[in-house]
Amino acid sequence: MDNKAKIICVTGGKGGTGKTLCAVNIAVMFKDAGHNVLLIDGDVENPNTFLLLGGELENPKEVPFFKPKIIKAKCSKCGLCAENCATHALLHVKDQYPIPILSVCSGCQLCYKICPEEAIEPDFQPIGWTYYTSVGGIDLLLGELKPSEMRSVAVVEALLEQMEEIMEKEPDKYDRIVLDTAPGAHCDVEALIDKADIVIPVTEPTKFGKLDLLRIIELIQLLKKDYKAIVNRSSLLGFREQFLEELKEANIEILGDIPLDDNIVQSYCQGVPIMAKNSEYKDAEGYKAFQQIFINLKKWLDSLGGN
Amino acid sequence: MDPKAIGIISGKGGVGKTSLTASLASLANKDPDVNAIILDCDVDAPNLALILPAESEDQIQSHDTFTTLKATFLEDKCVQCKQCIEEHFCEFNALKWDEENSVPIIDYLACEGCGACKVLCPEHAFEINAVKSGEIISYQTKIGLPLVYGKTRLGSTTSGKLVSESKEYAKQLKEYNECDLIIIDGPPGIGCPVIATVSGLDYVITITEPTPSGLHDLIRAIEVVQQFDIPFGIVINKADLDSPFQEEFKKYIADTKYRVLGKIPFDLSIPKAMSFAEAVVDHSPDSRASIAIKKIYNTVKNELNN
Amino acid sequence: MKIVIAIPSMKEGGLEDIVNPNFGRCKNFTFVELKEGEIDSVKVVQNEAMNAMGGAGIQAGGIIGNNNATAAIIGSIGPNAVESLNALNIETYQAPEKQITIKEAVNLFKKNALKKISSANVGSHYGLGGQG
Repeated sequence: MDNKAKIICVTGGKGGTGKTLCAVNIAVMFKDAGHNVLLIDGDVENPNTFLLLGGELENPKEVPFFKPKIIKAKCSKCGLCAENCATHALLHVKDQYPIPILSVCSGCQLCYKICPEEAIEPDFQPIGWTYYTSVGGIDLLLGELKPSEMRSVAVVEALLEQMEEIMEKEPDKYDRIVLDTAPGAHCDVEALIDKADIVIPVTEPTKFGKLDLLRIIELIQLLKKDYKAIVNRSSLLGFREQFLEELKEANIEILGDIPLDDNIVQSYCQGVPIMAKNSEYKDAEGYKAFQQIFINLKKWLDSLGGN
Repeated sequence: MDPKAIGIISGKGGVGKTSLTASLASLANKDPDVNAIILDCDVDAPNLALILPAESEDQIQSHDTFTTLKATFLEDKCVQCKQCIEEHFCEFNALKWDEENSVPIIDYLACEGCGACKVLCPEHAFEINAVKSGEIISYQTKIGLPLVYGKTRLGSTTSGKLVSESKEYAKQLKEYNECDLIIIDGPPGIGCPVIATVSGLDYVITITEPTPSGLHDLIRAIEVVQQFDIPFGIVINKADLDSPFQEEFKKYIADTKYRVLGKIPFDLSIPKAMSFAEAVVDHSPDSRASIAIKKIYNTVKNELNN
Repeated sequence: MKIVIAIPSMKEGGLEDIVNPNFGRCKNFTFVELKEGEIDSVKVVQNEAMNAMGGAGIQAGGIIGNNNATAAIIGSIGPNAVESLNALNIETYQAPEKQITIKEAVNLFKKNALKKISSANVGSHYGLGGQG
């Protein structure tokens, strides 16, 4: 039997549909059901999970990113590095040392690898941070990109490396890992979906929600992953029935839907997940909706041979 | 004279960039002093076209872009030395070893086209080619303004470039010569495509909502704008949201002394208008949201003129 | 002291050509050498970076660096190109917004009538936006 932790990726394409809301509450529900849960916040440009858990981040660990450093004493000014740099991140003018233009450096390290004089050294600069901590009773591994840096995927990869290290060194520590992604369908999102056993795109019952849902499903299918959607704010303007019908017609299975519920906003602003054990919102529509989603999620995992 | 360009970003997704852009576009269109062009630079998930569709299908122009580079493996040159794996040619985890066939496999989605494998392989068994990275689409909208948007092809890794190309493409439109205002719907986040959107703009509108993540992400978005030294103003959407966070939010904003351009109340007229593929100022011009947005338009116009 | 000014050119280059406001994507560069404040020689070099997919600004910096420019007169310039020119110690001056000939630009330079640029005035890849 496969004892590896089950990895559930919550994504969505469109911003603001409620990915983080769902990821956090799914993590909380698994924990309360007796599982050992790790929540990973891969929305490194705007990591928000810790806000929904009412906590703060501690113990930042730098994510280093390669930048080239030219060792002038060894450099023969041949310009081979600049010639082969795909992004023109090394500027070479004849008879001068090559000049790194760091803002366009992709970190491919080719210059370092091909310099015939070994005159380039890796100079690792922080591009962001990861935090591995416990917030609101949930183990959280969170990534944060340094504002003005561009390569979000590098921080996401650092998170995934840490996750794999934990899974290798302490395979019994967690049996459920929930990944929260950024909006969009860019490579940072793709890197997270790629690690998942199952994917849950979160959408809203509007044209925009549907358009972005179809796009994220395209990516999910490209990565050959199993998915079922959640429709959040389903009661918006009476769109629910029609939207669920449209999804059915498009053969998009859903895990459940969550109506607009002010209690969700209230609990979120208080920094307590609505599904927390001591939740004061147990009669709320949103609460019941999440409960049903969790039942369906467990059934789904069981059908895949989960433990 | 070059037109003034303003962009709308937020950090957090779903706060209302697209709906605000659509309304500002509509107001600019009705303004006799202004000739505007609209851009949607949310290239990973462009949505503005849903509220500002084309006047007619036949005048939609679509232009493929090829700025993504990807590696291809040339099996007939490979001698199966496995050096590419053992010496870790690829820093992007795009090279894996196929045990069965004893050859490397390229992970298309992860490949950045940096060319390291091509240069380092002693047998020249890799080559780099430009592939379709996305498309730039432009048309006359049904309200009469030209719209340009970029859309990435999945796996392209070059969203920032497509944003820049879309901005550049707008200069080719015949309307560009008469244009004095460009309004840009930005992507969520603060990374590469946002930076590409914001750089070179004359003004940035940062839109937020009075929730913890709305505020948290606003601060990060503002940090990026400040790095570029571009003047900006804040719009607060769902401003009267009944939330326990309101006091903290209001205090924070007041303490920063950042320019607040206006506040849009929570108003279901907005999603309702969007569901009819219309800007709220057109669909419900007397709604509280529309009144607030009209004020914001005038405020922004004053900011730009000073 | 020898001064070599690089000026992006609209068409075939030379003193009578118009200054091209776009640094990385101009067709040619005109290099005007001044000796003791007077024009000593004029050279035109093709801009091979013109159709580059990316990094045009940096490559253009390389071209003018390789042609020994000590100064450049620029309309709009992106952040990567600025970084390149600063790194090469090439002094960058702001060309006026209206259209002028290269000769007129050199005259403004000689009269110290041009402001220095230290940071980008447009986004990378020639984003939209006017001068400063």
